[in-house]
Amino acid sequence: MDLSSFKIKFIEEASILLINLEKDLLTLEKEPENMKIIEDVFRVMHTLKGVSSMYGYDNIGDLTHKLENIYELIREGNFIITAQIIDTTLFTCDHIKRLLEDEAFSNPKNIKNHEKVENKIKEILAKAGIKEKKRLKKKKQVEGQTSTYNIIFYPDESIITRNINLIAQFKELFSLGTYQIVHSQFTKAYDHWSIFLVTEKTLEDIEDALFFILDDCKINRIADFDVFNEEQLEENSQLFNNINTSNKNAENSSATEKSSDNELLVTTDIEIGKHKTSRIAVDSEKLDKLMFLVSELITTNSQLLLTTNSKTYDPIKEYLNKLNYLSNEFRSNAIEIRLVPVEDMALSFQRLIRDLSKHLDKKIEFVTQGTNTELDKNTIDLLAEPLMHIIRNCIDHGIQTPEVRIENGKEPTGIIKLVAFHSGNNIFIQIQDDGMGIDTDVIHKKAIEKGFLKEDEIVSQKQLFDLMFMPGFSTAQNLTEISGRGVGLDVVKQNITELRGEIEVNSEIGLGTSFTIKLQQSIAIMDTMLFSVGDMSFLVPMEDIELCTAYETEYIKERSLTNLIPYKEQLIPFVDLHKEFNLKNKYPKRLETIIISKNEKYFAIVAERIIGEHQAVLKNIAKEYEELDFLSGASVLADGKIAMLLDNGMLYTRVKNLVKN
Amino acid sequence: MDKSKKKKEINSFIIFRMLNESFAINVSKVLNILEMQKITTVPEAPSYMIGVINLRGEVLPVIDSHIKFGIDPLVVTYQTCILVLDIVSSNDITTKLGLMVDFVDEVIEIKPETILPPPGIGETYQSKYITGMYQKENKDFIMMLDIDKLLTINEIIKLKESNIDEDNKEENTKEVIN
Repeated sequence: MDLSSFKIKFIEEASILLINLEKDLLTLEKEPENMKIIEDVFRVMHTLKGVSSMYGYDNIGDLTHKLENIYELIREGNFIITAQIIDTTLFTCDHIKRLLEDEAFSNPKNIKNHEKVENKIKEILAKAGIKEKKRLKKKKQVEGQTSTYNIIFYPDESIITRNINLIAQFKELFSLGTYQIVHSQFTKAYDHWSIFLVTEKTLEDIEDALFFILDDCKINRIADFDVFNEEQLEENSQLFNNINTSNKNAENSSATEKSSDNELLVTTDIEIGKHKTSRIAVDSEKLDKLMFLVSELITTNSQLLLTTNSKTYDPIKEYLNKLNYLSNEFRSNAIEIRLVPVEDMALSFQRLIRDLSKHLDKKIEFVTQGTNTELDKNTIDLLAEPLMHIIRNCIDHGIQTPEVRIENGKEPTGIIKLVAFHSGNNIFIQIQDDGMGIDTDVIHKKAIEKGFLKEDEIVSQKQLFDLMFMPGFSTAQNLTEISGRGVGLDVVKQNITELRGEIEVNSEIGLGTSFTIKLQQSIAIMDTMLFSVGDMSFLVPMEDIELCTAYETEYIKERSLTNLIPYKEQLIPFVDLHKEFNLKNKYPKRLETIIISKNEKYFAIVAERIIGEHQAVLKNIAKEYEELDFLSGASVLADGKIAMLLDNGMLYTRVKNLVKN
Repeated sequence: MDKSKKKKEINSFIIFRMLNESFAINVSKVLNILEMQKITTVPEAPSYMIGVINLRGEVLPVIDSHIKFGIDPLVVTYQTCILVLDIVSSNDITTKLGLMVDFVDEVIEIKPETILPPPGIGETYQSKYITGMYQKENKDFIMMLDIDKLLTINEIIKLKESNIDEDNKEENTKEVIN
C-alpha cells in the first residue's frame, strides 16, 4: 500500500467517525447530562486527533485537539455542555469534512471557515479558561504519582521484515520504571508478551518509548499504585483480579484489532467489544460487481434452460434445475446484501431540521418510524436529496413559527415525521408535517395564472396537487434562501421517477401535509411483461398492466383518426408502436394489445405479439440514449436478445399528445 | 499488475479499415473485438447509433463508423467487426461503446517519433480527430485516431443537433439486421 491508499482509508475512517459524532452531538443536545455520550464524543475527538496528525492532516489534528480539551473538562465535571459548545462542535464537524477533501486550503472559503472555527473554539476555551488552569494543576499531581501500566506486546509476522531494534525499544521502556514480564502460556511458543510496568512517568512517555512498535502494543493503565508493592497490592487485590480477567479479553481481541485508543481503561475495553456488531463495511463498487455477476449468472442460467428444453429425460436436467434453484437463491441473497436501513439517512435529516429550524426561529421535533425498513443502497443514496428537499419545504413553508402555532391552537413545537414501511412488493416512505397544509385555492389560482389550467377547467384535488410537480410551478409567496426558487418539486419528482418510483401529496389545510413515495425494494430486478413489435422487443412493468387483449389490424387503422379506442364504457387513447416507431415491416392480421393503467389513467399499447412474463434484470440504457425518455432501461432476454423497458408515465404524455394532434 | 502505468507505455495500435483508408487506435482503448452480431435497433435514436448489443449481460450501444464520418452507411460483410472501446469524455466519465468497422487489419507497433503531423485542410475526414499520420514501409498512410474525441457524448450531441441524414436510418438498420 502506498501513502495515498492509506489516506483514502483515513478519510473513510474519519468520515465514519464524524457521522457517529454528529449523531452523538444531536443526542447530547437533548440530554446534556448524559455522561456516556460525553465520553463517546471525547473519545471520537481523541481518535480523530490521533489519526489525522498521523496522516499529516495537522489542521484537523489541531482543531480536534482543542475540542478534545473542552470535552475533557466536561468529562471531568469541570465544565458544562452549552448550546454554544454543541453548535461549535457541529460547525467544526462540517469544517473537518471540508478539510478532508481540501487539506491544502485550495478553496479560499475554507481558509475563512478555518479562522471562524478557530475563533469559536477560542471563545469557548476562554470561558473555560479559569478552570483550565485548575485542571493543569490537577494533572501535575497525577504526573508525580506512581501508577502501574500493563503493556501487551503482540507483534505480527511483519515485525521481522520491519527491521526494528526491539532490544533498544524495550530498554527505553524499562528505563522508565520497574517492570515484570508475565508469561501466561508456558506450554506454547510465545506469540505475545505481557509486561507490567510501574512508573512515575505518564502514558505519553511510554508511548514515546515504544514509538516504533506502538501499533503492536496495547497499553492499559491498570492501577494508581505500585502493584509490586505487596502491601498496596493486597489492599487492592480485588481490583487486580478484575484486571487480570479483563486483560485476557484484551489479549484475545488485540490479535485482530490494534486499537489506537491506548488511553482507554480496561473496563471500557470490554464495552467496546460488546458494541461491535457483525456488520462489515464493503466498498460499494464490489457489491455492484457482485450484482453484475449475479445478473450474468441468471441470464446464462435461463439460456441454458432454454437450450435443454427437450421433452426427453436427461440426467443433466436434474442438475440444471438444482443450478436454477441455487442461482435464484444466490440472486435474492445478493440483493439483500445491498439493502441498508432507511435509518442511515435519517440522521442527516435530523441535522438539517435542527439547523434550519434554529435559523428560522421555529421549533421542530423530528420523529421517525419504521426506519429499520431496508432499501437498496443505491436507492437510499439517490433518495436522500429529494427527501431533503421535501423536508426543507416542510420546515420553510409547512411549519409555522411557535407564535402562529399557538394562535391556531397547536403545540408550539411542530413535528416532522419520517415513516417507512413495506406493503406488498413496494416500500413506502412518507414525510408528514403538522403544519399549515397546502391551500388548494392558491394552487388553482397559480395554475390558471401560469397557464397550466384553463379558467373553467374542473379538476380534482389530486390533480391540483400533482400540478405542484410540474416544472416551473412554485407557489412560494416569498423566495427564501431555503426553498422556493422554482426548481423544486419537479426535480424531486424527476429523481423519484429515475428510481422507478412514484410520489404523491396529501394535505389538509390547517392540519398538515404528507408526501408519500412509493418505491421498489430493488430497482435492479422487476417483474415485467414481454412483447414484440416487428423485430424489437419491449417490456412493461407487470404492475401497470390492466388487461391484455387483441384487435384486428383493420380496426386499429380505422381508429387511428382519433387515436381512441373504447374500453370499459369510455374512450382511451392508444399508441400504435408500428406507426410510432416508423417500422417498415408488414402489419400482421391481428395486433395484440396491452391496456395500461398508470396513475389512474388508462391507455393502450398496440403491439404485435405478447410473449409472456419476464423477470427482468434491468440494465441502464446507455447514456447516449438518455434523450429517449420513453425508455427507462433494458434487459437481456434468455436468448441473448435485448428488450427495452417502456416508461409508462412518459409514454402516456406522448399518447395524450397523439390525441390532441 | 500496475495497469495504468503499462497503458501509458503501450505503442501498439490496432489498424482498421474504412473504405480504402486505414486508421489506428491505441490498443489500450480497445477492450474487445467482436464478430458482427445481431444488433437490436433502438427506436428514435440518432442514425449513427445503430442499436445495442448484449455484451456479456451489459447493454452496449453500437456506432456505425461510416455514418459517424459522414459517409454512406456501412455494408455488413463477413469481415465486419465491432470494436469495444473504452471512451473517456472531457468530464472524465468512462463509457463503453461499440464501433462497427469494415474490418480489422492487424496490430502494429508505432514508435511515437515516427508519427507525422496530421494532414492539412481539405481532407475527407475532420482532422481534429486525427492526431497524426504514420507511413508503414513506404506504403499507405495510416491515420491515428483520437477515439475519445471522436466518440465522446458531447460530440454525439453536437452531431445529433446537426441531424445528419435522418432518412438513411431505416434502410441502414435493416441492412444491419438482415
